Amino acid sequence: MSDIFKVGLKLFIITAIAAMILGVTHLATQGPIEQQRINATNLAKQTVLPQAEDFNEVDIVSETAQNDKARILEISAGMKDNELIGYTFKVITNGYGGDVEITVGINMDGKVEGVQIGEHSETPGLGAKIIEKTFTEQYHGKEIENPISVTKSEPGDQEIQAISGATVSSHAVNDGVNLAAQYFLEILLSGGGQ
Amino acid sequence: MKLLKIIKNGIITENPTFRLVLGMCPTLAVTTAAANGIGMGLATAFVLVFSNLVVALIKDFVPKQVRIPAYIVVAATFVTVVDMIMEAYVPVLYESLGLFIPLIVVNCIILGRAEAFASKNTPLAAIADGLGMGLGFTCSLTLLGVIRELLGAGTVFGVQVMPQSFNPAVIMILPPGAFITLGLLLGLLNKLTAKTE
Repeated sequence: MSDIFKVGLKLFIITAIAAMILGVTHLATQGPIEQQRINATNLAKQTVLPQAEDFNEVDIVSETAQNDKARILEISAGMKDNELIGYTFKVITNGYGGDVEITVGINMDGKVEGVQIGEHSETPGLGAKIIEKTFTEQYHGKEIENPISVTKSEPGDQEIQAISGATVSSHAVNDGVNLAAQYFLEILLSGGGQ
Repeated sequence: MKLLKIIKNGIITENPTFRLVLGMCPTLAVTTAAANGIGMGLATAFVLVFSNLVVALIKDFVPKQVRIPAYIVVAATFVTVVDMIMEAYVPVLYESLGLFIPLIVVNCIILGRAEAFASKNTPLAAIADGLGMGLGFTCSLTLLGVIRELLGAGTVFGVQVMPQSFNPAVIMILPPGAFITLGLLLGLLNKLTAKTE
């Protein structure tokens, strides 16, 4: 009986030391990690809406911010010299391997400025190719008046070409962009946003 | 030198992938590209060296009956600490390796070497074993990654090497390609070593 107690105590000591190490590391790193995430978000906004200099967060107001494929997490108004030049949307969509975080920039002309992929768990070598510029740059300059669709062949005006072998991942990104576009058209452009 | 022999043992004689056939889950999952193979291999080597060292240091303290949970706690703690520090201070590295770090906790090479080697040897020998096994793992994963990336995407380390007319066999970077490549390589290596013996 005392043996069990001794063994248990030793295991307890080991786990307690481990917990202490983890706690201390967490305390030491949580500030910097938070800062890194903020930096990454700001960098993403800057990338998808390069003309903007300041970003002010906008409240998300409507049911439009969510559908069964994607949801908008955060919207910022991109400003330059006190003039509104566009919006950035942080959207979560359903990829092949789980959530895909994308940032979409739309300018006041109703065109997509840029798309950037954040955290995702798509298949390396296939779906993970959505992060590559050759894919995301297809969105640059696309009109959002009508939803953008995905095609497997040569893309037309309102189309982008899917990554071969990764149709689900390509559609996931596209769903996110379309949701942002819809919100932009229905809420922000009609003055409901601010 | 004994330490060099231990390192060589890990890389060649008892190569974790092709000889011990340990750590198959990450091996099959991440070797879709050569760069992923190297990344996973080096991250594992790093953790392996330190978990081996810690296990060798505390081996007299850990009661025999609970050694497995104790080793897992050591490995998991170490991996989590590395994960947090990397995210906080080297975001560039974290971006490329972050995906692999949590996978290392469940890599049975860590537990296997703690149990089979580190818990019975001196800290110095345990470090050498961690280094050897880690490098051996890195070499095998890179080899798998190179073959699969070459046939599945026509590139190696992201650089196009196959002619444009080459039509990549996408199956090679999908899970079946991992099993096919691993099986053929295992068979080939067995045949080669069987001849020399």
